Amino acid sequence: MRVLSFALEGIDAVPVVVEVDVSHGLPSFDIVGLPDAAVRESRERVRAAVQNSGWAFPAQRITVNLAPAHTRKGGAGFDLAVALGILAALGHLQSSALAGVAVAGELALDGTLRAVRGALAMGLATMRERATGLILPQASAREAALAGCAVYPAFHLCEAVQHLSGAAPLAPVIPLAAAAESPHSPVDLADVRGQLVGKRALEIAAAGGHNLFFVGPPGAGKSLLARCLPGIMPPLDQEESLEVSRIHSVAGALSGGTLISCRPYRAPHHCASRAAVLGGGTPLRPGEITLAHQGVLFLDELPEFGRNVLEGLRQPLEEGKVHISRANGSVVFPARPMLVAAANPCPCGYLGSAVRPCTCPPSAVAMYRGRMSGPILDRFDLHLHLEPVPYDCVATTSPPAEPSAAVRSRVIQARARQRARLRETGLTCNAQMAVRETRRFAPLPAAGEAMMRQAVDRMGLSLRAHDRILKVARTIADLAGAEAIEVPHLAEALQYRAVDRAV
Amino acid sequence: MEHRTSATARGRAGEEAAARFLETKGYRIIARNVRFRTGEIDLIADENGVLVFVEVKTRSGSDFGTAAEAVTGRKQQQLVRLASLFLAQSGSLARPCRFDVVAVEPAPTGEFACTLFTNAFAAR
Repeated sequence: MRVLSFALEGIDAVPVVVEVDVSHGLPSFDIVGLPDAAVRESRERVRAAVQNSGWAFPAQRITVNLAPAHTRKGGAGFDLAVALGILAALGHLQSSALAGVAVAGELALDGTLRAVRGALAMGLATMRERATGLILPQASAREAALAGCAVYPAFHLCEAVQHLSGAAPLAPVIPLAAAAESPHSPVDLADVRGQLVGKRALEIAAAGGHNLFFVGPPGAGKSLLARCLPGIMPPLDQEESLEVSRIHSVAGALSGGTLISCRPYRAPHHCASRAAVLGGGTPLRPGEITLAHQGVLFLDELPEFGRNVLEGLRQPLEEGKVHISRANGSVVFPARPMLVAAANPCPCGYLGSAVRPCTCPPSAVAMYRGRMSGPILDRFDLHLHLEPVPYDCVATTSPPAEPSAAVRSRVIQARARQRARLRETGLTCNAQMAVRETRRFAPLPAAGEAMMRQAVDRMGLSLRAHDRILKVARTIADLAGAEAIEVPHLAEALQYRAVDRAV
Repeated sequence: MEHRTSATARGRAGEEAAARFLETKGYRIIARNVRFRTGEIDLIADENGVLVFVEVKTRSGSDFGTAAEAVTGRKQQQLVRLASLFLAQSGSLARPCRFDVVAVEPAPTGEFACTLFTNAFAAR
């Protein structure tokens, strides 16, 4: 007896054929095919669920094989496939009824079905495998239907059996239309007083997909500005939305059964472990960097993050994906967020502040800075010093600030220019350009060369920093609607290198 | 020794009661106290073509838990091993079979009260 089900691997569902054999001999119930503890425990759930749904559990020798036998299988999602296989082997169900149908679901002891992780990925895999339909727990069905396959929502084991036998066919779920675009972030730029330089940097970062690093005293509005970023980024397109939804589905965090239409915003606390940020654990789950894919990953108090976490971020940020290698195989999760980080200039927070004197001994400042390695700071295209907002901006009489929607429309235009220019390279924004593309698409004007030479000499810029400045200048030019980088664009880009100057 | 003898005697009396009880249920007793080097199977019966290995557990009271509870996982695994030995020796490995437990406890009347647990456990 063969039943098609799925195992999760990264953000993909891979087909697993559940084979059930019932024969005479000493009564036993074995599951083979590298099951983990949760799969082995499925025996007790299946036994109870079958009995409590009104069938006698056979006193026979039951062998379940999960093929392919060489990959490790985890989770409780095979329960339904095992139960249906046994019922079919006992003749309660025609074996032909199971042909071409995929099933997944965790069984409760009374036979009701519990939700599974990664239903959307299973829906996509159902399409890929050309299965005629997918039977899922009611709680997961809507999510899988987004993939476009026929999904039959079963509340109970009996419903699944009656559907397959044709006694009481279930109606396929109708996928919900994507929710009307909700207000992107709970904070609008119009609510942020002052900080014009910060807002400008935010706009440039959003337009070019640049990573952004804020340094400033407590209360300068670093976190608030970061929170505004998803709201000024262009909306997710269909493909991105499906990819983001799939990631959150695998993480078990897709609610409501609709595609995610807002860019994700993730702000892990600085005590987060390496596995929490980069992905890991058993079974493997995507980390914060993957959950923030196509959105914003905000690391507040950057120096407080564990060194292994920060260094672990370097390679994924370059590649746009995380490789997690384990003894039994490796998994790749997509990871292309915009990284925004914030830090105080020193432990007390007031170094270089005009308002209050800093109380830190120089050694403490050096140690604090030392926690952020050069290579990680190098990943940020824009570095910015934020100063506390003067009272003039806070006063209710000050003119209202520009709303996010206005900024966003400029960002969308700038992105469209970039995409048109980068079309043949397959890249989508300036920040993704490598050395060769930077040379080709971001040439400096003659007057700019002189300025750049001076900056490189005086600030001691590395070649990588030089390229980053070019990319930012290119984005600034795009925002201005200019075909080529001009001197003012370069001058502005040079301002966003706060770390390269002694503070 | 005195104590041991009385426990054994009580066990035998319980098995006798269990055998009579199973016969009223339509079981045909094939063998009793089938001994192997590692233990013994209390009763082997045939019920409608199914070979049934029966473990009889007799308790004089419930002070130490009920009789049925006393058939622990370890005891079950021992029975599974003995049953496979029996099947191998009788050359009927592919026969349908199962494990039942009969709990024998003294009834207020002075007789034994038997409780049957069909298909009580399986090999793992």
